[in-house]
Amino acid sequence: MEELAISIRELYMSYGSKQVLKGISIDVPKGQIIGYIGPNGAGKSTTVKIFLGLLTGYKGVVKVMGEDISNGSVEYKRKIGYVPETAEIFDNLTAREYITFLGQLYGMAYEETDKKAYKLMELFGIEQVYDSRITSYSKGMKQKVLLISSLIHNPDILFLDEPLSGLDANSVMVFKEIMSHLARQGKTIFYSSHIMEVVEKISDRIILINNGSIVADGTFDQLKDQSKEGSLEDIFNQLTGFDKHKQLADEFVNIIGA
Amino acid sequence: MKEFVLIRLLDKTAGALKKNDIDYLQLRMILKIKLTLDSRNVPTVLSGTRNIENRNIPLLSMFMYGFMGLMISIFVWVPFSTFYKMNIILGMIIFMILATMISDFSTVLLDVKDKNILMPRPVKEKTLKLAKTIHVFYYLVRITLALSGPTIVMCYFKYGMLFSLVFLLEIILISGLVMFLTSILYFLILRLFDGEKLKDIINYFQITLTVFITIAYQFIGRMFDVSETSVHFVPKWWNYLIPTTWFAAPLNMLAEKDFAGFYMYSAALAVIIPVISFGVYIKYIVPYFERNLQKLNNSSGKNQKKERNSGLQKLVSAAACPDMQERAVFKFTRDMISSERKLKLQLYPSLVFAFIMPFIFIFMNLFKGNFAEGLVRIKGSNTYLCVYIGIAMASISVSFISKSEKFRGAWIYKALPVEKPAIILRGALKAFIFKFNLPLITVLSLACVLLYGPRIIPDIILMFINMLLLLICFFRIAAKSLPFSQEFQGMKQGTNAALSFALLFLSGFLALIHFGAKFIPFGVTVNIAVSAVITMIIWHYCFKTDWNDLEYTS
Repeated sequence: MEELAISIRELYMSYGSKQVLKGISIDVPKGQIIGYIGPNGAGKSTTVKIFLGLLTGYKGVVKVMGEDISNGSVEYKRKIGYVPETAEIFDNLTAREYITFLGQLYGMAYEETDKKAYKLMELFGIEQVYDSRITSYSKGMKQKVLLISSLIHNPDILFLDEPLSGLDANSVMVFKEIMSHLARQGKTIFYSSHIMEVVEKISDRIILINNGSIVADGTFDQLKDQSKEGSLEDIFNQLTGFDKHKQLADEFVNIIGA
Repeated sequence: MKEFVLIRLLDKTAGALKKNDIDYLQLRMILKIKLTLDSRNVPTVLSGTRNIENRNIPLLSMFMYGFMGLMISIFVWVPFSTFYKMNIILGMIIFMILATMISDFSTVLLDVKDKNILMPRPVKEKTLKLAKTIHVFYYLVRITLALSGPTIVMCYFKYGMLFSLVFLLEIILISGLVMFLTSILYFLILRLFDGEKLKDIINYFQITLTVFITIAYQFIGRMFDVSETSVHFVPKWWNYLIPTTWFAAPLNMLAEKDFAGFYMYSAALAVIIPVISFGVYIKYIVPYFERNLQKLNNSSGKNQKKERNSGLQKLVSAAACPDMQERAVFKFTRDMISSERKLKLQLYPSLVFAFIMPFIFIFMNLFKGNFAEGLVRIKGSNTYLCVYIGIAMASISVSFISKSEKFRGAWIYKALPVEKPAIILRGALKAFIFKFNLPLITVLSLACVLLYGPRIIPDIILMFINMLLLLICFFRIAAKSLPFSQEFQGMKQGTNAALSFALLFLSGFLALIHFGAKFIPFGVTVNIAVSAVITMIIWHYCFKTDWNDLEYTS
């Protein structure tokens, strides 16, 4: 049996009286790219945040590399890389300071992190701002720093939440390649996005959640067979019970023109 | 990155920390990053390339505290009884530490960014907590030392070694107590409110505090004129409730060799209460914060603001701004002023000062002699001209209108089809007058009419017109940028101070003319007419700016 990178059993989470996750179970073997999709507020970010220990008070069992994350040890986090959707950065630091800081927290040596970080910045074409404060960066530059800082320690599992936002088309292509390379190396990628075309192309498996429950789980082809729809976007609309886009668009245009 | 003194000190304890299941290297790194961030908390947006190590903001603020500490220490030499004197000194020190802790603590304590960045990394919660505690403690010690250091030195010269040692010990106890008091306050706020509301409450608290400190400064000086130096202190039961007496008691025992029961009990309280409260802080309050900090992120969206454009406000804005675009800016400015916290923190204290300062001057001679006689004396005088001080202060604050935390949002002005910036400037200035100056002058006038009688109504009309005149002049000179388009820190302190001084001078000049006009028959009426005409002329010309004349950062 192949080893599981991630395993979730009956995961429940609520904020006050509002139930956000209603019993989710997922098993992810190593080396898979999971497209984790769902409408706004479906519970995607909540799931990811639970993995990283940012949220506590959930019910259920969450295991990373066979280790229960509620056992109080933080060691499992060494194997995780995380790109949050709305990322907070200590942006008064320079990229050098920020990335080396995080690298050292992962237990890497300063020189090693520094060298790696510079090379990666070079690859992304932003090495000239390595010693500038992150506040002065453009959106794309910030995103690149974020990607570098979450991959610098060579993690086994990646949680990426809209990792491509703000990147130009060329960088998007580079990063998509990077992801498939990493998957081939046996790394697991948990990929959340609203851009269905990308998810459709890169994912080995797609998990769609709606209202805190899983409504579909399988490869793109399986999903296509199930729902008799052509694209992931259509499948998404169908499974989330959304079919009013034409009508809403009509109304929208009418209101603008009124 | 440079090496910090704290880090070097900390290295000495590394062994002990490691034994306690703390990842020392991580702790060291987190602290180092925090101190670096602190030293840069003035984001210089575009100058980020080089020279970032050179500006040391914490050091500068330390000088400020040190200076205040020096002022406080002068009291050591005032010829009062030791007990009384120490009460005053300790009171000032406690208040200053408390005030700084409350405003600084909020940024450290309520920092969720910190958690979001560090929690996904393999950092133990214990390490993170310790880093936070050391960080807060480090600040507390620095501020406390700067504030009390000069006094300790002065005490050494006046009372000797033992006295200043006891004083130092007490300062340590006081720090613990202050820590407890600040956290209790935040504890209560966190308990009662959540999310955005909490930030609002803290904001209002900071406003009140700023006002309080400044006014307290005014009064501490005055108190000495009133108080009698030879008062014999008779202890009363409620003295036990005043923290400064606890700490002043042992000092008094040392200096005056007075070992009366009151001093003994007070001295005991000085030790017991800080120790107990610090214990409570560590045991109950810290864990509570850890659990509830998440609240800050979850703004429930329940307490949405109601649309504020009520019928009356619609009427006002329509009357003030006949032009549609201008009216939009008017409403926009009003909304911005009442919603942006940092702006409020700058504006509201100055509004309160503008109201209070005239009365401090008016009542200055009330303290001398009989109170009732003083009131009569005031009633017949021309001291209401002090209102000009308030008018000047309120006019200076108009320069804040170009500041905003979200100054980058100012691109909208350029994207909009607005032909002349005059529309935006005029709408914003009108909104500022309605939101800020009009309420101020109304309240000031009412208070003055009550105090001086209706005879001063013509004077008030003149003061109102002169206020508009000052405001427009200052707006024309100082506000060379669109509303909410400049960063707060980017303020050019020097030029602003010079301009403010010029404005105060102009204000004094107008007051002088006003005063002179009172000796001429119909003088005030003529003055009203002249001021009104000048105001109208300047109003007509003051918005004639081109887009290119305006400073614009983006």
